[in-house]
Amino acid sequence: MIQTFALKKQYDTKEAVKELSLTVREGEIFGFLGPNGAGKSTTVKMLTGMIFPTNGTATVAGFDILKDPVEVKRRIGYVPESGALFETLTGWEYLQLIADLHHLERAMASKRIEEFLTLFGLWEEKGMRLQQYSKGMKQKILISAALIHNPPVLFLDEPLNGLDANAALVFKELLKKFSQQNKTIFFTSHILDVVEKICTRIAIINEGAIIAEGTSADIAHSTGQKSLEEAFSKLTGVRDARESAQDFLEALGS
Amino acid sequence: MAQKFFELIGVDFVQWKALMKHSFRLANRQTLLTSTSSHQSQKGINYALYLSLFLYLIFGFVLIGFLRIPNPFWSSLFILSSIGVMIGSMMLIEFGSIIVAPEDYHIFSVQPVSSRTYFVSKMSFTLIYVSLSAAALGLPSVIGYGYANHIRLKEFAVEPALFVAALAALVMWSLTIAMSMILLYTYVLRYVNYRRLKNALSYLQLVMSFMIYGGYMIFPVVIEKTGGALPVIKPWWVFLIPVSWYSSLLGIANGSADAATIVAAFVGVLFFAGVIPLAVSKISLGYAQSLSEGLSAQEETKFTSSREATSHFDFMKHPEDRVVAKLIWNQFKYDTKFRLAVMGIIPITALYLFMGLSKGEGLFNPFNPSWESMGQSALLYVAIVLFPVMIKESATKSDSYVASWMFFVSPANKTRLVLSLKKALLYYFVIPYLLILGVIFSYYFRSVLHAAMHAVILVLLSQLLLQLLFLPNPQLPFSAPRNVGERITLLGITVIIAPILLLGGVVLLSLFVYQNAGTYLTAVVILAIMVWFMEKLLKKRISRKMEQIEFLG
Repeated sequence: MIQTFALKKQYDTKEAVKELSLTVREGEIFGFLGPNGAGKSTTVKMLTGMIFPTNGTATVAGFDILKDPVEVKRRIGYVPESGALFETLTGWEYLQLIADLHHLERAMASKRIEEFLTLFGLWEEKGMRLQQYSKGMKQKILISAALIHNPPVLFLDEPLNGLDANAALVFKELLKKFSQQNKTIFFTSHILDVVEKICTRIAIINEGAIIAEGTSADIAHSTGQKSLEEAFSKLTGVRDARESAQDFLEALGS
Repeated sequence: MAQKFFELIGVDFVQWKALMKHSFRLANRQTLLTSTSSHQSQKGINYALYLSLFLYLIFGFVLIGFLRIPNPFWSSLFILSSIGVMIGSMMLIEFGSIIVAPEDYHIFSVQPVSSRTYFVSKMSFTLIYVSLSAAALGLPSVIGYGYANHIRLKEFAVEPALFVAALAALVMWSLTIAMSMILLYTYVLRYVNYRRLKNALSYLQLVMSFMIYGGYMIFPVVIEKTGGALPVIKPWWVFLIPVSWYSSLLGIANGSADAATIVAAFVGVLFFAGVIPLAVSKISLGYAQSLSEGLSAQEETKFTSSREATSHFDFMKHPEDRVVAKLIWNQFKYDTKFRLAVMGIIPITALYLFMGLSKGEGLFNPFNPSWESMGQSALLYVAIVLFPVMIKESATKSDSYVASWMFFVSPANKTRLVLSLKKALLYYFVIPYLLILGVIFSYYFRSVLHAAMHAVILVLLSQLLLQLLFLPNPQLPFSAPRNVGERITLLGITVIIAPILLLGGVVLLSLFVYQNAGTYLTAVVILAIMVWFMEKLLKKRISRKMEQIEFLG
């Protein structure tokens, strides 16, 4: 469902993504992990058509991201980490705008918007401008906007940001159900526990290149660690976590 | 029919409609003249665009005054110049909301919107927006040209040629200006950081608000002074000004065109035809992307000098004084709204001075009172009272009031923080402002000593005023949400009461205090004691209030 072929992005002298080749199959929840600045968001931006690769190419839902970007965008839903929204619009108006851009029939769009807002507990606030929403409420709108056209592929960049425990629980269950419906989910997060629990396969990217790939158990096993968290730290950590914590304590004592 | 046309040019009609509706919605919620704080807009202003157009229309009626100039070439030169400045500034300031915004890229680039659909929707909206604004600003004059002789000669004479020429000039000139601004903006952005340009444009916004509100008062004076003094034969240099190319159309329609006028009109039409394709090539989703990428790259280098700012205030003894001084300084440096609220006093003072001095009476001199000039100077005293009111309001209310949590969770002395705020406002803003006015007074009073003495009294009175402002409602710096309704009420009351109180006070000073050194010194001592007493009272009051104050975020 998602395939990249030597995908590369270069900013001046910095190679943000180095010839990335990966495959995400239909129905997979693919966890894409990496420390800050590893190239995760750049990869997602290239796959969603927000930026162009310097080299290489990729296909999403069977369409080439360079040759058929609009066809790709018809088939994807995206929750951005940046949380960008037109904040002077109300929640309802924003979702209506996105539905119109996806050619959703008015009645169907209204029904879906109503359902999403009700499910996320935002029905009472539907007429409030987004600038008045809390971080979690905005995130719910972003998730609703990504799902409104029922896309077969979802790109989720830190989708649980700001969600309350109940909403996060519902959302995680929803992802599992989507996977059962053969939707493909490209999931980026720093919360390793969540990734470990819901992702069927994981890749770790560091300095623009994939350094590990497989299930969380495979990755832990291949690094000789007990958990994904420890494996991640070993693969990407510059320093030992315990040593760093000790240094902090010493700094406070000085 | 429309759908077929759009399909023919490769534009998705449904998306175009959605994007147009979206653009109107955004414009109706925030435009230049009605730019609202987030707190206010949460309450739902949905008619900002229409309100702007209404203000432009009133301005358009003010421009009719130029029709009193007999030669249509000259009158239209003034009218079109005014419209050009308005539309040009509007395009520059509102480039992000009308044309291409970096935010568009984040949201639309992942939607199935083709670059062509995005471009056509943006272009359509820009054209409609500019046409509506130009119509509001220019149609009253265009219609006036149709009846120009009727107005001047008091006889009914419809002049269709002049009407058509005026309409053509208005359309071509407003679109030429709009398109030139798109070119200028995109060109400047190649060399200047987007955020810095936005900040610079906020000053232009200030000047423009001043022009609009001041224009109502200034234009009649300008028309009065220049009305009949313009030459029949146009000097050569006037054709170097682009607006004259379009005024030439009226010169031709009026039957008074020489060869130069005809050539100028021709150049105008050519320029209009050339600038449009150049400008439209700049409006694309790709351009929004480059704006957005530029913005992200610039964010990393944004605040580099905060360490320097820290050292500026190290001499202060109390940590609360340092905190407030640093906060005020940084807000002034980086928060455009706060900076504009402070600097807004400059055009207001300049306008009130202009209004006061335009009658030729000079400024009211309390040491040598001329009662004719007193009424003219009243407006200046409104500005003097308005300034502490404005800055107190702006320094306690902010869009980022939620950040004031730090005052509530730290062991800082809140009473001291409020007093430090009042002190900072007095020392950093009020006193420098009054010193500048002191220099102006010294020119009009023809005595540096008198100007200095008057400034000292005004400083003491302003300090008392600041204390009075903090007394009923002491607030921590930037700790409350902005509420524009409240602000307008406060400013309204100030504008009505201030001249009565302060001018009354100045009359009293003039009659009883400024007569000799003894009475003057006594007044200074009494005012200083009042300030001291008020400070004690204020401290007690703030201490009591701070025990109950809660975080508003």
